[in-house]
Amino acid sequence: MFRLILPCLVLLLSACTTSRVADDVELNSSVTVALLPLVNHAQTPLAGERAEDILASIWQQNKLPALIRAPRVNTKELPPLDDQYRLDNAMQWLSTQQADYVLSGSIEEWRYKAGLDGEPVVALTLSLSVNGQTTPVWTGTIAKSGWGRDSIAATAQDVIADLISYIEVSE
Amino acid sequence: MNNKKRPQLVSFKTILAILAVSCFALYALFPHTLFFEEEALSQDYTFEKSYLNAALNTDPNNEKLRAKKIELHIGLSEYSQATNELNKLPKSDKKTELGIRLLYALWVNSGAREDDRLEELSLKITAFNNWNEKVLKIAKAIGLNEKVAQYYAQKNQPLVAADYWLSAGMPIKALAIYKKYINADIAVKAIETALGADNPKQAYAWWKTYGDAKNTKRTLYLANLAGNTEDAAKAIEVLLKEQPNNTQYLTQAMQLRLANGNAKGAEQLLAKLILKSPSDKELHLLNWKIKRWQNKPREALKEFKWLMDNRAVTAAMLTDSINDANALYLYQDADEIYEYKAQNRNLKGNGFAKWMQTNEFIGNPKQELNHIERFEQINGKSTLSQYWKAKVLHDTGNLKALRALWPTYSGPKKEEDLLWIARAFWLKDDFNTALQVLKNKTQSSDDEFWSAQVDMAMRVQDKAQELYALEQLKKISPLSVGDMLHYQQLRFAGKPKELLAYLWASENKTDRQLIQIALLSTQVNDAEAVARIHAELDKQRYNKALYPAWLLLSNWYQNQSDLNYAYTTLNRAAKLSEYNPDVVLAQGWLALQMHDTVMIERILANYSQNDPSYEWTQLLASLSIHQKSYNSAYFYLRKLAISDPSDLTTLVNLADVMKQLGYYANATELNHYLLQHLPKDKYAYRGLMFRWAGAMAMPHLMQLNTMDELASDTIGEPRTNWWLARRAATKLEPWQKLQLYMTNGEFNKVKQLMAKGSLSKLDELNALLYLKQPYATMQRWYEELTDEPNESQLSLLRNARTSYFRALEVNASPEAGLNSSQYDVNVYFPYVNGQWKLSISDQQNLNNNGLLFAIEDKITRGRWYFDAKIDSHQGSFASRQGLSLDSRYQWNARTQVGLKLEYNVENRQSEALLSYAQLDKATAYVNYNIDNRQNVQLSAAAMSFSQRDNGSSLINGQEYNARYQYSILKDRPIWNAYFSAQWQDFERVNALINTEQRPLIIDLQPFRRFALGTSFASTGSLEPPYLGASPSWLFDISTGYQTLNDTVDVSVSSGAGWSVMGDDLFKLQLGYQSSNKVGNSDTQLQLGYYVHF
Repeated sequence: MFRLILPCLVLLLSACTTSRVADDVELNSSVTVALLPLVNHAQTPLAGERAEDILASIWQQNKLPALIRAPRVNTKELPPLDDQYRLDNAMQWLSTQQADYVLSGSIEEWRYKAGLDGEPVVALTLSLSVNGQTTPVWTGTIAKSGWGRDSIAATAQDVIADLISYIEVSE
Repeated sequence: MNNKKRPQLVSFKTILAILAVSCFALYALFPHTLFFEEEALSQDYTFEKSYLNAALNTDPNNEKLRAKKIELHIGLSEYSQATNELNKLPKSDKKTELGIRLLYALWVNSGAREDDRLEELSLKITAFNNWNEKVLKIAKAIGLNEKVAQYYAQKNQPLVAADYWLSAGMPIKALAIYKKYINADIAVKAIETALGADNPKQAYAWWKTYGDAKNTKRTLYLANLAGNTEDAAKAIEVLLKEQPNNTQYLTQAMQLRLANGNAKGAEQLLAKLILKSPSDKELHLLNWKIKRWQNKPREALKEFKWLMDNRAVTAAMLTDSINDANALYLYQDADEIYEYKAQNRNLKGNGFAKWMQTNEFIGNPKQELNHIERFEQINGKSTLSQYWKAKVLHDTGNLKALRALWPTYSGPKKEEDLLWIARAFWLKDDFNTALQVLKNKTQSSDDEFWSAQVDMAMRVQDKAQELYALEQLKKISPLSVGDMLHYQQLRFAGKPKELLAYLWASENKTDRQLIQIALLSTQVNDAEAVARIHAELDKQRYNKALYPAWLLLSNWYQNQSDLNYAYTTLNRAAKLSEYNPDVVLAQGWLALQMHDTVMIERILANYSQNDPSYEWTQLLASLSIHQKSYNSAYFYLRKLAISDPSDLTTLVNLADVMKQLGYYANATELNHYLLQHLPKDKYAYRGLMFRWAGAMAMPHLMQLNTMDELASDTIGEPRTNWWLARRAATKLEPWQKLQLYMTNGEFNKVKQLMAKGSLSKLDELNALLYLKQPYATMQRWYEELTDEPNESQLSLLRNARTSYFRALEVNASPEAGLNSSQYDVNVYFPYVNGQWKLSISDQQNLNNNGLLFAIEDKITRGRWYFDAKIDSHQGSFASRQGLSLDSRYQWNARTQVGLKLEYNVENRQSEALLSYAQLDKATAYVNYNIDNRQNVQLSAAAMSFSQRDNGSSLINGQEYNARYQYSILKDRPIWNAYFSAQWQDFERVNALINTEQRPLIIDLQPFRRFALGTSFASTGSLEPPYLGASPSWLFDISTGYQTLNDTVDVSVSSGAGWSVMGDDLFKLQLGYQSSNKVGNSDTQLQLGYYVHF
């Protein structure tokens, strides 16, 4: 009986995550990676910024190469009316940097599901390209629906950690 | 040849000896009469006196002897005797001479003082003409030089006379003599005399002729005296060569060079002199003069500054130097000179003004102000100094100081000055003081002055002054259109008819006047006046200049909601203006109001390619939204938002359009921004606040995106958002006004709007519902909306149907609780502003079975709610006729208070009481919404149980209820958690209750329970009316603790309903209590169906 329950439980737990990720990519430890703003396609405000912060933290904990981030314009004036504005600013910033790779991406979902439990859902895509080239050297997309009482941030940490684990440092 | 000499008788020596002896003998015999009596007295005075006495005795008339005697007495200082003897002499020159000699001897003897004797002596000598040597001697002795000179002149001794003329102090006479007898011997004396006679030219002429040419000093001296600068210069140059460093020579040479016009040479010598005496003011002064003569103003200025520092200048010099400085554009130097003048109190009015001008040229206002301060300290305030102070402060923009100056300002109060000072006040928004400043001048021909007064008076709302200023302005020049209009409004304040009459009265009205009349007619909002000008304009319908008047008319018609007229007049304006962009802009807004799709498309097609202004961008955005071209609208709104982020209207619309385009996150972000920036008052933008407040308050819950989900009474029309913030809009359609009034909570205006009857049917229903008249709302809904209802109408239905519906209901409850069963037929219908329910039931209970009839009426109107019910149970043993009235009042948005009175109503305390007893109860209650999710209900009741058959009382007591409920989800599903408590308070009794068979002993004890529960539901209840939710379901479970029994119980109720045909519901409800009020388990089961008709 237990033999039956355990696979079911594993299946149940793991069935909430879906991902499509390219093979591992190896980066030299001396390279510099520029993180561009993650374009927010979700309905939750500031999802891009939140994901960027989590990503930067996990990136450093994984001892990946140096990550530089586009500065944010903190202003009490009118908020950016679309993410294209942030992206345009970041591209201008990038042209002044000596980055080897560019990490970009987008947030597809970032919300609590409607329902009794309001499960968190996070979906995002990341792409890594050589600076100046359009074809990515690595890309991955992942989505996860958490359990009731989970938080979005916890779920986001899981999926971002999952995705970033495909990026490694060459010895 | 006779060589024989004649022999001499007496030798020469013998002759001489004989003569000498003879003379001696004679002298011895006649001493005074012989040889010496004329010359001198003999030394033998006694002998002589004796001789003379003897002689006079013998010859008393011998005047000579007497004269000799007088002389002798005088010689022997025997003046009295001399006087006696003199008196004896007859009048003659000799007597006068002797008298003079006597007087002189007396004068000398008395000490030779200047006295009467001297005067007498002088007079006598002067009067005496026949002077001899003795008189001459006396004259010289007593200083009668003039007489002596005359004497010598007569004696032909001119040069001696000249000496005495000189001694007499009359050199001219001496000079005349020298001129005649000049020669080398007397040249020196003659030169001195010429100098003494003040004739240096003559002196120098003689010097040149007879003087020593080598004596250069003397030559220089005399040439100088004679004014012969040329010769003097030559002389001094010679001397200077000999002693080049002699200061005296240098000075003289310098002066002489100057005298001979050799300024350059003098300048060189002066330089030497200044080197020797650097602090000699005279030299510096001379140097300043020479520099000026030499036309060297710059060097002169330099010298002048030295002189100023050493206080050696005169007023004339100051003026000259100022002129020099100004001519050389050396304003700083001129300024220093002026400053010097000011310090020395030499600066008069004109000079001060020039000083200030100089300061202006220098361009150092701080220095200029310091000068003025210093000037005022020295000379006191003057009109001119105050004027310049104000001018400098104004020119340098020092408004604060200018304001501070005003209270003590004593300068001129001309237009210019007053405007400066007033400006300093009005720029600080102190218009009142500015006006007071300007009022200091009552007469002026300066239009700028009066314009400023108009402006100030307008700002402080001093209409009288404003009118006065406008009148003054009007006298000076024709008023502008705006000013004239303003003037007329002031003049005819509160008398618009008179103003219009005034305007109409003018003959040969110009185009401008007609436009003005149109403007005024629309402003006074007089339909007749508008009609009159409309007619007038019609007469000139092809006059292109009048298009603004047509535009005004169009605006007015729009405000009157006469859109057709507005349309035609605006078309006329457009044609006349040859489609002026401003007119087309107005056409665009009108098209939007009229939903004129053709015009909207035309404008979008023709004008969207241009680079639009802000106003045009707003219009194009609005038109795009109307046409549902959200991408285009987004483009325009984004442009507007970036160019003016403070325009919240734009941002509200932009957020909506972003949502339409799926930019939810950015729209949300923008709306959060709006929440922070929109007005926070109670009513403004209430819809928007509601819309986002839910998500903000409960971020862990799902986002609540529509207003309906949170607040049913909030305006939910999509178009509302568009107009939400357009409070300033003036061209509102009735439905737009309604939205605004509802948003702002203006009940009375909503009522007025309804009374006008200009609202559409659906809007009227909205208004009625807003006014909390759900019955009337639904009544009209049924009567007027005969078509298939759309979503908006269904929304109304859900909100108001409870107050107005018709339905037939059948319920079968085989288990109705308390061991009873009940079968009902209910009819619901609206009537006379109330929702009625007629009910007939068959109730089976504890052997007092019977029919139950009930009539109930529920009325909602405004803040009041009433529920009245009459029922009658025809039991087989005992009947009951009950009555209840529940009245409830909405105190405010959060609080409801109510009072419920029940008489002989059903008593569901226990099975026995349901069957055989009845209940009287009076309950006061209050419901309070802590917030949108939390609710508290409290009630207190006095109650009485009595038997049905005889009405005898069983118990009297109180009941208290409390319930706290938290709404976890408002919908999908409705999910609540609650805590409740019920507390009955009466004495526990064992009572006998009459039944059909035998009295029944019942134990009556109070029921006290604390419970926690939760409920889930898709809908509020399964009772009619049907609100469109199928399937409907509900589930409620609670667990409680009964204190008196020390029992934990569970209570569950559930139900589900399905619509069969459409507007109906088939339902099944099931309930269970593990322990009811008397400790028994209880079950309820009901099947039911209702259908609307």
